[in-house]
Amino acid sequence: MKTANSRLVKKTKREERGVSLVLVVVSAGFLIILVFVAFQFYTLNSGSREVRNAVDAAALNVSKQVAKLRVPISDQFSDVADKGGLVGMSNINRIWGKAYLINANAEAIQKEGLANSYTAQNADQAYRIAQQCNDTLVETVTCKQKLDSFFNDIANLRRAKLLGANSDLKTVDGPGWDVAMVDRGAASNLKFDEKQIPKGAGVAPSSGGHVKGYMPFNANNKNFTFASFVPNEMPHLTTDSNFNANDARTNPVPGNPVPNAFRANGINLGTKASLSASASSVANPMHEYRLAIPHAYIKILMSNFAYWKVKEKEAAPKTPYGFEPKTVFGIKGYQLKNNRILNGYASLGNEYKSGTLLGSMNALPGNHKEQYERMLQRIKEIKHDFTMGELNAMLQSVPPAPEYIIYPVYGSQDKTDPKIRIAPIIPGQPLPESWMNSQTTIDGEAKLIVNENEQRDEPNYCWPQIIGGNPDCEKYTQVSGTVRWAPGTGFNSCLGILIISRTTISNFITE
Amino acid sequence: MICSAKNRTTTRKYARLSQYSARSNRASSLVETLTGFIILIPIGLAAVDVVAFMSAVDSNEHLAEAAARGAAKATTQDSAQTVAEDVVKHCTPVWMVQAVMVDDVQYDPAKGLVSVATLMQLKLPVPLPGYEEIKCRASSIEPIVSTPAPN
Repeated sequence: MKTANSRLVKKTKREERGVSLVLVVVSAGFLIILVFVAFQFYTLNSGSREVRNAVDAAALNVSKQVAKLRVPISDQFSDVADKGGLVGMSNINRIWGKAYLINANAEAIQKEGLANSYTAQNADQAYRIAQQCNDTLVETVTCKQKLDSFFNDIANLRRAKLLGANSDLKTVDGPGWDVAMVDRGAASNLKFDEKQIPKGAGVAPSSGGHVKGYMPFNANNKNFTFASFVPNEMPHLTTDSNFNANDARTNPVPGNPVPNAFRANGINLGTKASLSASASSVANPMHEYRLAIPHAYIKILMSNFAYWKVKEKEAAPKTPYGFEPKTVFGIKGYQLKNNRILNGYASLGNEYKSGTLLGSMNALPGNHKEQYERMLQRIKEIKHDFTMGELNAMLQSVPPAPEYIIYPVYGSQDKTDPKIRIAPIIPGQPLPESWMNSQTTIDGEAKLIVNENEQRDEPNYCWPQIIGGNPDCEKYTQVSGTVRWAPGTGFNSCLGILIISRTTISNFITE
Repeated sequence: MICSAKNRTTTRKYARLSQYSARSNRASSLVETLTGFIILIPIGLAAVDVVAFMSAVDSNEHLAEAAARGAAKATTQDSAQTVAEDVVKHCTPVWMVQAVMVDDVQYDPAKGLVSVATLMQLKLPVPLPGYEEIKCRASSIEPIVSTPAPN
């Protein structure tokens, strides 16, 4: 009995002891498992965050680097290319800007009825060059290999180490990258002023002085679409919802414009786990340009002719005269009745007495405002902020001459700092800048824009000399002029020619 | 009668044994509980430290990322340093973080990359001998977005 009881007590004691120990071991094990699970969860969570952050950084790098991709362009547009003669995201809107100005000029020329066979041809060619360059650039900036390479530049530096030491972050295999045109209707990187656009041409939609991006508009029956690159914005990440709403595939913009947003789909292949993430980013080259045709000029042509008449009949061939007052012996020994002889003289070139081109252009009365307005509008296509005051001062600074050229010079390689100059054209000598010397075809017909009122006996006057008889002879001069404007599209650099023609008729009336 | 007295003696003896056994049990449970505590409490405390450490590492990585993103918008090494320091200055660290600072900023316009490393000094909630304070370092690389594309 004693032994049995004692054994029972011992067993009970052992069991109780065992229960406590098991409890301790189980609790310790549970705690250890809990810590292990928490650590694994942390590893996965942090690894996932590492992948997301790495894909964000890689996507941002794509948006940053994609602006460095460049494509070549035709020589006619070399003035709006970069210093290497190439076109990228930075200056594609500049290319479209030049094509737009040429077409706006062509549209205005056509509406004024001044088009010739070259007008439409040159405008079409300008559009074709811009479209071709644009399409090549779109192909380049959406090239999977190039975008993958930009992605990998960062992905190789930012692996998700928590998912395994040899984890590898790369882009998800697929046909190509998703691209979008975000910020539709926002500003592009091309500033412009409505005064740059000729009257009668379609004006580009504006957003704070910039052409609106991804907002197609029409000029010369052609569709123009600029890419949005919001001023003062850096390349940045954007939300998937914004990207999806502007996706190029599901919501395209007419005209195949260059996309400004890219979606990176990355996958991290790790030993512990493989995780994928995506990020969308918006590119911005952070360069702004002005709407302009950098290599362009206008010309001023002046000519003077003297006509010599006796009794309304031409008594001597017309003679050109110069740009300073001079006595011209126009009629020499004209035979009159009764053996009298007439010598006719005239003081010509008095309209140029002022000694300046501006004074000469205004010498005869007439509404000269239009000629300056037309010139100024075209100069604004080269330098947007050129003023009437500056134009007058420039014309005031030079003496009158048969031909002048008004053109820009640049200090910067990308031709963004025009300074307007004027120089006389001397026959047989090259023009001031090499780009002006190519053969040009005038792509607009001349139109009379100012009819200078006829003046009698001023500023030029005439007098006769009669030999052998009655010296009576009535005489008077008729001084008049016309100003014509031949507009150009700018495709061949010529934006227009102002043609001033002056005529002095010396009349002698005697028997 | 004799038998009855004998029985009483045996009962008393067993009662004493039972009392002894109960005392012994109680002591044994106490010892086991204490042993359990000795095992479980350090594990629990270590778990607290591990969780605290992981949380600090996590927030340090967040901070390095934020500082690198800020520095990516800077235009020079100095401004990148300033921006990164500003980001670190304006962060609100958890209670156990004693100090947090920018350890290194590498602004490389040639490569178009900026790398920022942050250093966090934290005091473990349950100090371990020799590991009362722990320093953790996190770094992040971002593309520089402040420089315009070449033209």
